[in-house]
Amino acid sequence: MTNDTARPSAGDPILVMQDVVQEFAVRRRGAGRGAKVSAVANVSIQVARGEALAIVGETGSGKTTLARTILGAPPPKSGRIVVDGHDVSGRRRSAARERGKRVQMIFQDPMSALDPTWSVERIVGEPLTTVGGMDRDARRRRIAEVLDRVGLSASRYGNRRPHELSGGQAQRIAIARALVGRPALVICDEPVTALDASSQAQVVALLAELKREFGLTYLFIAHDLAVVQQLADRVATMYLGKICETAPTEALFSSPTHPYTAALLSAIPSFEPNERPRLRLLGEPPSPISPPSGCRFRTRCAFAQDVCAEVEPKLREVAPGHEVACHFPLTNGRAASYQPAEQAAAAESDAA
Amino acid sequence: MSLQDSNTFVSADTRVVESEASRWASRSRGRVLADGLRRTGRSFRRAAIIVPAAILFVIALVCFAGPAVLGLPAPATGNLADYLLPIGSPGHPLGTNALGNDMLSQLLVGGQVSILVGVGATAIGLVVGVAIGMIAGYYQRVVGTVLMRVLDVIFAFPDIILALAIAAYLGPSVVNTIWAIGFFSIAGFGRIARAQTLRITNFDYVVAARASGRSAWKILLGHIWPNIAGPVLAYALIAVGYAMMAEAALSFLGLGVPIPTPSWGNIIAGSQGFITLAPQLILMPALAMFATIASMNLLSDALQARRPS
Repeated sequence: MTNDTARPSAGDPILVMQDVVQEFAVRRRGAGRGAKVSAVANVSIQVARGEALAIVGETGSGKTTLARTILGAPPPKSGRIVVDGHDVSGRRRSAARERGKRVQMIFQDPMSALDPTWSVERIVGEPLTTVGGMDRDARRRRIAEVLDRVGLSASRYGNRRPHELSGGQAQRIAIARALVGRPALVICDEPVTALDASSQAQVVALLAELKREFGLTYLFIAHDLAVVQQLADRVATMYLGKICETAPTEALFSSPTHPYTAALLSAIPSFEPNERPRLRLLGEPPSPISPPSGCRFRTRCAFAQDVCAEVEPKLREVAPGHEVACHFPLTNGRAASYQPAEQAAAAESDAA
Repeated sequence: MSLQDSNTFVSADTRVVESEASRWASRSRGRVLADGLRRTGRSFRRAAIIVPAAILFVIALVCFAGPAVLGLPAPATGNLADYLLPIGSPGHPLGTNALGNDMLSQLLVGGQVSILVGVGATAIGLVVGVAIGMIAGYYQRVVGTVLMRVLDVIFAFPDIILALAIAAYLGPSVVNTIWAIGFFSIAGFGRIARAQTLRITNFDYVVAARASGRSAWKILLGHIWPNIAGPVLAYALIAVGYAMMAEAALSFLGLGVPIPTPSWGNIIAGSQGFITLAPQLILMPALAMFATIASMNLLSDALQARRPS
């Protein structure tokens, strides 16, 4: 249970997701029967040790489903999820136990994440009792210590119930619970969305501090791009269940290459007018029950051409560590529309 | 963000030794338990809960301790010559029935039997029904569907007819009455437990516990039961009242508690022939039953309105 054992060097992947697919059956009578919502479609991502990967995207893009799939709630329809060298994608309880030791999640709504009938002490200690193998005194010491780390005193808060906590305190308790078992991977599902502005800032600072101090690995789901900029080392944008672009945070914010990323970023209010070309997304995302052919973003893309409907763009590297799934990636905010469609298709088939 | 940093987590162990947190960490088990009890106790301190609970307590106390304390005659050892004495007769404060049995004794001992049947039958329904309902709500795919269809079958029977059939098959006795009434109360508990379980399993704390490989029974007993106990116990109080009425109905029809053992139901049944001559014989057990069941329903309402501890 200690960290004394030699761990592989930084940079080795803690989370590896390979072609993960998550679908939900839509039970309907008649014509639509057997239809499926494709919530996560062939997503492959890696998160290195000590890295914070943020996943951003609109509501309904499958971010939260992706996070819950890692938790096995429910397990993926296909594909592999490996955490710290252990496959956790199975439905069996043994997979869940491996997951319990290595993955913890911080949920969006702390009030739903804390059992109202449990004391703070019991809540924070739950991952330890689930894994077992720790006596009561050691457990209580660890709980006191981790509560101290999130800035709450064990003697004042240990006996409280969740309804006696403020939103910010409750989220700190949720963070303490996530960290108490020293997991390899911490999934944060919009950890500050449900909090007021001042608690948001505190919780973000706390998450950043804990990451620095303990070398935590985060998978960070967010739609607040300011928070992402503060916490993430790398960002992946997701649209309708697919990864559009992954890049180091700075690179992504300074030069987005996927039109969807650019549109997301241009939604950030700027102090300098006309700094970036304004890209507006029209309408709503198409239904994930029947996603568009080819590129899923093409129906709302300003740069879409015929090839986008026919060939699905694969993720390819445009700069070191910067991957994009687009036939016409942007350079400096402008589309590479000079490239004829046939050529792009040819390049695509070459790549495949 | 080097790897060495992650060892601060271990060294924090030593840092915390002198702090107040370590004193907290070494609190005795007794203190922890007392703390919890005090918290729970506080949430019950309100008139809407205390008043009906006190009434129920007094009724139960009088029924169970009364006959011995007051030195009452056994309920079925009356003198036929003293038949139908009015209320306030010397030696028989509530009079006698047609067979000369002391009514106060009949009422109190009958109360024991009625309460026993009501609580016993509800206990059976609660334990079996809640177990089925929680499992059905937790394993929603196959197990849950099958269990709920089984409960639907029980639910589809008119319950008093079902109880009649069971009671007629088993023969009239106190224990058989408990089984008969208990059996048909299973479905109600199963329904409410499943509905509440479905609500709780969607909370993130259950999702997290499940994802971490916490065992199903630990989740069911640790997370789900404490969170559904309120509504389920509130329903149980109503179910006790309902079971007492069912007992009265069965006894009235001669399939419940057999004479000479009195129960509120069979006192009413046995006295119906004298409704014009001595209406108090029917009114007294009916009032006792009304007071008990009304208090239980009030208590049930108040408990449901209570904020979670």
